[in-house]
Amino acid sequence: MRVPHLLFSVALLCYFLSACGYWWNVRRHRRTTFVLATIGVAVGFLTQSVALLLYARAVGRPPFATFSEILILFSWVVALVYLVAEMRYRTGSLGIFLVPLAFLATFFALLIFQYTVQLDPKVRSVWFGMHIVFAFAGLAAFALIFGAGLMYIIQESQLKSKKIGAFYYRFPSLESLDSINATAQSFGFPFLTFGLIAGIIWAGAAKGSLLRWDFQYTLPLLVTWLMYAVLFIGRLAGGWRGRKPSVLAVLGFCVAVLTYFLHTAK
Amino acid sequence: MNILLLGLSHKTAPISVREQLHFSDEHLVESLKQFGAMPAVEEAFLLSTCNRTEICARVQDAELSAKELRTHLGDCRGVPLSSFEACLYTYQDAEAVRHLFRVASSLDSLIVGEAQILGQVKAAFQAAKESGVLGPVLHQVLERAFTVAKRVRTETRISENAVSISYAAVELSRKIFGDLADKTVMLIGAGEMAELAARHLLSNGVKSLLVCNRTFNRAVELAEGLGGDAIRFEHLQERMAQADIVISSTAAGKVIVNKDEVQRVIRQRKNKPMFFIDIALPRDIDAAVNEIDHVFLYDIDDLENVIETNIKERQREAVRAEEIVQSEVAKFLAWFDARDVTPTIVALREKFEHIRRAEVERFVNRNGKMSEADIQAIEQLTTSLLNKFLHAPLVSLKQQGSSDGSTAYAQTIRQLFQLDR
Repeated sequence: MRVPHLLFSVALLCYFLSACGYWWNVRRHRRTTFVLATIGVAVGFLTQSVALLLYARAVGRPPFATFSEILILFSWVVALVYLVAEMRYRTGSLGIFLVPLAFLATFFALLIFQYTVQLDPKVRSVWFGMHIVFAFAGLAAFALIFGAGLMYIIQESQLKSKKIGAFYYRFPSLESLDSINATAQSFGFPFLTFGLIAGIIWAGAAKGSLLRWDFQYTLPLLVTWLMYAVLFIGRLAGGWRGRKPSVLAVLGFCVAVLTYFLHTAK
Repeated sequence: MNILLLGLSHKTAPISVREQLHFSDEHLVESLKQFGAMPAVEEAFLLSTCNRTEICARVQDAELSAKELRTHLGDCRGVPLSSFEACLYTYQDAEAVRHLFRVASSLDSLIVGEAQILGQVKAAFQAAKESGVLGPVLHQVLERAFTVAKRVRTETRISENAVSISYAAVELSRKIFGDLADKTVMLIGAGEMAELAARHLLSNGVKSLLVCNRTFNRAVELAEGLGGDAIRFEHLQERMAQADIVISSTAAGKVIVNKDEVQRVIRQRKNKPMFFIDIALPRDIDAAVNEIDHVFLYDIDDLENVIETNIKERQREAVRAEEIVQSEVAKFLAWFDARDVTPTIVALREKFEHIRRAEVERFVNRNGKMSEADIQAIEQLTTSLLNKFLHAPLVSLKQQGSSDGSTAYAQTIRQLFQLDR
């Protein structure tokens, strides 16, 4: 167990250094710094992947039973989505918010790390696996919207107030940020929905009732889902774009993270 | 090294002085030849733009020549020295090289990072070459100045952000819309500045242009010139929804686009963002338009502010550029030193002398008792042999000393005779 733990710490260090690199670069904007920081994220991501595999082998099950495991998995997904998005959009600045997010998640995970070899037999189910995979895919998309949304809000307020600063020079155009958000949303919400449905089916099979009305357990999830549903429909049918959905998405992500906290802390 | 640079620029001299000392293109070659003909001057280079006049020369005696050059500069333009002497700056050797590097990289320009100066330095370089007054050292300085300028342009962002109204309009459009290829620009009024901004936008990818003017004929004329469509002033409101970027510059003297209208237009556009640029005085567009979501309104003051921030950003980058200049000056000095053949000559002589002495000593020791006179004779013989052997190579080396290939020459000799071991 010491090897995976050590590797997780290496990944943590990589994310930390890369995050520092991206922030240092806000003012400097050096190509080399950006490349080094991005290599750092990639190395961190690979290290973390290996660590997750070793860890799963050591405990003899997939790594999503405890809260810290979920957090680790979350940071892994954020790093992945960042690398993919950077490759796809080449913004050069998405890492400013996403990589610190990956760092924080890993950091807290390691802070409270506890490992139980025992796995609730109820969790050994295809539906539960689907639940986790889709919920995480959704969460990854929302993390991306969170980063790009925050950038949109900053960029828009600088352009609107005509007080341009360091971010103005670094961030991509409003339109490309908005299109990242729209794309991520169109993936994220269906994923989240599938994830929830799989979870409900699993809960029904495992616990005997399809929707056990447990406030702490279910209500936050429902709130998150509703919020993203509103965003999804707003964009699709209401012609929402720009600042309003960005603000909602950033708030929504905070709620979503809180929800995961409550949902998995049980 | 004896490189001397003296001149005056926008930083030291008012326009009234600069214009008197300006060398036009026709005068340039003639004046260069005059400078080259001065006995103290070995190489010369003359740069004259509207912001500066500088003469750079390689001279025999820096102290004396500085005075001569100063007087000559005035004589060339028929201006008494006293009227501009106070504005002159003089740099010598490394400082002169550094100054030239800074000028070519646009670090000394009125607007730091502007691109024009490099072309002007290149033209001056060409003129000096054609006049035959550019020797190997100044040639090298200027070649390197171009390299420095290129490094500064590619390695820093000194010339990246807009510093003119029309470019600021393009830059902001890019920040809002990203790719401009599918965007439409609408000109209201046919002011010169608006036209310039439209031209920049067109050359930055915008494909579609609408021109609206109170005098329809003028709109047609301008639209034809720019490759767009003309719109009658009465149709302005209904066509506005088509436009992503609106540049207004009428002489109406009152608001012609108000908040309610724009609100309606934005609804019609399903919240697609709009960028209004109001460069009219008094303003054409109600300032409250900026309060509407998805609408960005910039007037002339706002654009000026953006430019000011951009200039500060350029100055930040200039700090990095100065580091590049500094390192290139060091490289040049290294080149110059390596070019000097004297150390090679000394080393070659020493090496041979060392061998000769050792051999003579061995010979004397081996043969036991030798008279003082014999030893003297041997010394003389070997020394004279050595001098004869070395004569031809040393003469060639000295001759090469002032030409461009000397570095390679000296290098070869160093390797051949293993002088560096």
